Amino acid sequence: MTHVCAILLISFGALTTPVAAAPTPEQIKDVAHDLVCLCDTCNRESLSTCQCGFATAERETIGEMLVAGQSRQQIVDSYVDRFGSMGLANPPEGYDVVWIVPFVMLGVGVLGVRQVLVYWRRGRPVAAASVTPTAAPGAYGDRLRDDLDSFEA
Amino acid sequence: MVDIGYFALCLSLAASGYAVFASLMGAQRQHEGLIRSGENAALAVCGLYTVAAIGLWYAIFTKDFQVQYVAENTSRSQPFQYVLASLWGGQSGSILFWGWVLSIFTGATVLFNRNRYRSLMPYTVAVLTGSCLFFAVLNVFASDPFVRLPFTPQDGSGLNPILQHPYMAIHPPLLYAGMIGMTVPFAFGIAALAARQLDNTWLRAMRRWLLIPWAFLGAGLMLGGKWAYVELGWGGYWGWDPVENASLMPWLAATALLHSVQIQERKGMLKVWNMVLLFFTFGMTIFGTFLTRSGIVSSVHAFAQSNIGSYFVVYLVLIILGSTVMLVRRLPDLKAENHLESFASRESAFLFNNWILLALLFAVLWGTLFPVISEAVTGEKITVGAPFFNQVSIPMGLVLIFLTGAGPLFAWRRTSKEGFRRNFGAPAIWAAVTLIVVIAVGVRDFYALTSLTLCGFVGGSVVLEFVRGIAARRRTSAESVVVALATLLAKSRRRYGGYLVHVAMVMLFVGFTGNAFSVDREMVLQQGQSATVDDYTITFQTLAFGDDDSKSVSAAALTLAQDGEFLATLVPERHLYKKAQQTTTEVSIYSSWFEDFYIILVGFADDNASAKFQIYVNPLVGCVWWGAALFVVSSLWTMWPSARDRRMARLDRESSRADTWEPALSGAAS
Repeated sequence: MTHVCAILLISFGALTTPVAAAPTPEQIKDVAHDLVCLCDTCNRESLSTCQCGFATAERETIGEMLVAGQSRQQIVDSYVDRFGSMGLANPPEGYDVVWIVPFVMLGVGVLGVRQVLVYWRRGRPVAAASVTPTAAPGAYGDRLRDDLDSFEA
Repeated sequence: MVDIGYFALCLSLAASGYAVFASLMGAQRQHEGLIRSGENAALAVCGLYTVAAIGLWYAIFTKDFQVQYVAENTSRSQPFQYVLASLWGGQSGSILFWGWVLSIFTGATVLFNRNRYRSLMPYTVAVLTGSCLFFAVLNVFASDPFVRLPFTPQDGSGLNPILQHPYMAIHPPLLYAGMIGMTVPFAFGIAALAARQLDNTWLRAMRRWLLIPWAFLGAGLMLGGKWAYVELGWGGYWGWDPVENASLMPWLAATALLHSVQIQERKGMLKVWNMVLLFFTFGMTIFGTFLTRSGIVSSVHAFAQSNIGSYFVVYLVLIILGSTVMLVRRLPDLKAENHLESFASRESAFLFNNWILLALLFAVLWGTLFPVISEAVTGEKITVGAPFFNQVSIPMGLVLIFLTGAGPLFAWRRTSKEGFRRNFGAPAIWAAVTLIVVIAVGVRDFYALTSLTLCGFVGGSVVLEFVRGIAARRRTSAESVVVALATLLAKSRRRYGGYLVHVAMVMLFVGFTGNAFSVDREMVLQQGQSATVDDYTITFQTLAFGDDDSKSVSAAALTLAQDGEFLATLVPERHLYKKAQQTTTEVSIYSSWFEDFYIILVGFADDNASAKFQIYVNPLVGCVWWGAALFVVSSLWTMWPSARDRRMARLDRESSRADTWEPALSGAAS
């Protein structure tokens, strides 16, 4: 993924200006990375890595469009015009919710865990207190308890 | 033989129906004879399903193309080992296979546990045979593998060529075994609720039955990755396909459960949560199957025509309703027996483990279902592809790997300040050293640095645990270090086997991190021309063509050299399967201990003078496979019964024999 990010960042710099000369395979793949293969068998594999005939042909089309001086956005738009928004690797604009929800849930989860811990902490006094070596005072007690714990399990 | 198979399938339907009935009646009336009869019926289901499976296999092997399933999923030219795989290569056959494996699990559960957990058995058997019943109903009424065509075709259409690969012959059965096996712990959970025997007995009964499918699922996932890597030809091993996700989700849930049951065993806490998690894990296996069989998400693995989705919906609703009702009725019996002494404790660490695993699970579920949900809402078809899953799962994965190392460093109950320093000191130093080393070798990527540093941290924490264990042994007995290590591993299988699984996770994460450094090149080479990729030099030598019954092969030969030294001859191929008119890429891989050189033949010019190649250099990918192997070995080690387990089993059996079967009494006692 980081790799992907890096490529995207580099490519943004490289491809804002139209490519006049024959594009390298790497430049084509940068654009294809935003798209997925829509043939029947490959099932939305990234257009940049898919090896089927459909993907190979589409990558050639991207190459031709780059030569014609079209921008990344124009090429992507034309793919979507031909095949629908399913062709985009990521949901189009207006679907930000897809990115937000997992992290919201992550946060909700932390709050949940915190609630549980606080609830447990408040729970009734420990019935088993007499059997745990809490009677031993101070640092020695801590030490003893840690040692006991490390022997358990 | 086909008719015998069909007949056996129908009989197994009846037998599982009877087993459910007899077990439940027997449990209700406390009638030992009925209960035994239910158990024997469960064994009969296993036998009958075996006959049915053999019946279909026989049809496949004898190429009985009048049977529609055989005509659709095998062909005359298909090699022997893949003929074997035709049993589960298509929809109805895979459901028969599912039912068969489930019946084997059912039979094994009866044989291993019937003397040990008398009071749980009738309900366990009822749930297991109830599930067998569902799959038998599916086979008989909705998806019959024994249906005959009105005519006999000359040849069948054959198994999908990309599935004709050795890994594909093992990967689906492993995944199936993992998904199906989750039924057993679920059955024990339901049985504990029904029999009102909610002490640690059922946890003991369930633990190994949870570990087995969990290990199968994990192994199946990793083999699937290996298959994708060598067969699909896109240079990677995990594509976040809905079917991959469908088997990853129950694995994540089961991993969370394996950790959180420990709190219940030791502290009597989280009883309700563990039940919920257990039901959820099982529910995810059925839901995942539904996802891939109903065709509501599109996937490489999806089975084409599907009329069985509605059956799964009904089954899933029954499971959810049934288990919820059972759980709610028993809530008063599931009170926590303890309370938390300190936030800095193993208990909290386990809670956070559950948190991150479930958050990851939710993210995967969300991404998988989002296209379905959004299409229902907006009507627009969209794709949630690998970029989403990577972006979301990488940060969560990093938290997970951190917790893998940190969790075991917290003591049960509470960790004192001094204990905290003592436990975190060494792993923190390991992490720091790792960080310095990876910076020194030139790694600058943020995620890669974080990941490798955390892997160093986890490695340090595991080594610390082993060092302490060995030291403790040597204090009490004059063992050598090697003997002490062996005794630790042999005696505390759960604990130290578990740490080995953590090491396997570290290796997997190191392997995943390698993705950040992979090199991706595409090039056209003339015959005799050389090119440099990374520090490798490849020279395109020649093209060759061949033909056999099922396919035409085009192959390129290239020599690979590094620093002027010859390494290997690589032969990437393209296969055109004649029947399916489908082309597959056969990649060629040169593996060194550090990285893979991976080459695909993309195509060639009409005059054969030049060819196009796709090349990946994948560093650290070997760690994924070695990590997978260690995962399998160490999870087997963890579940293998120790001498103490065998003693416990004997005691359980004896006490079970001594007791008469009285669920009410045992419930009250707990």
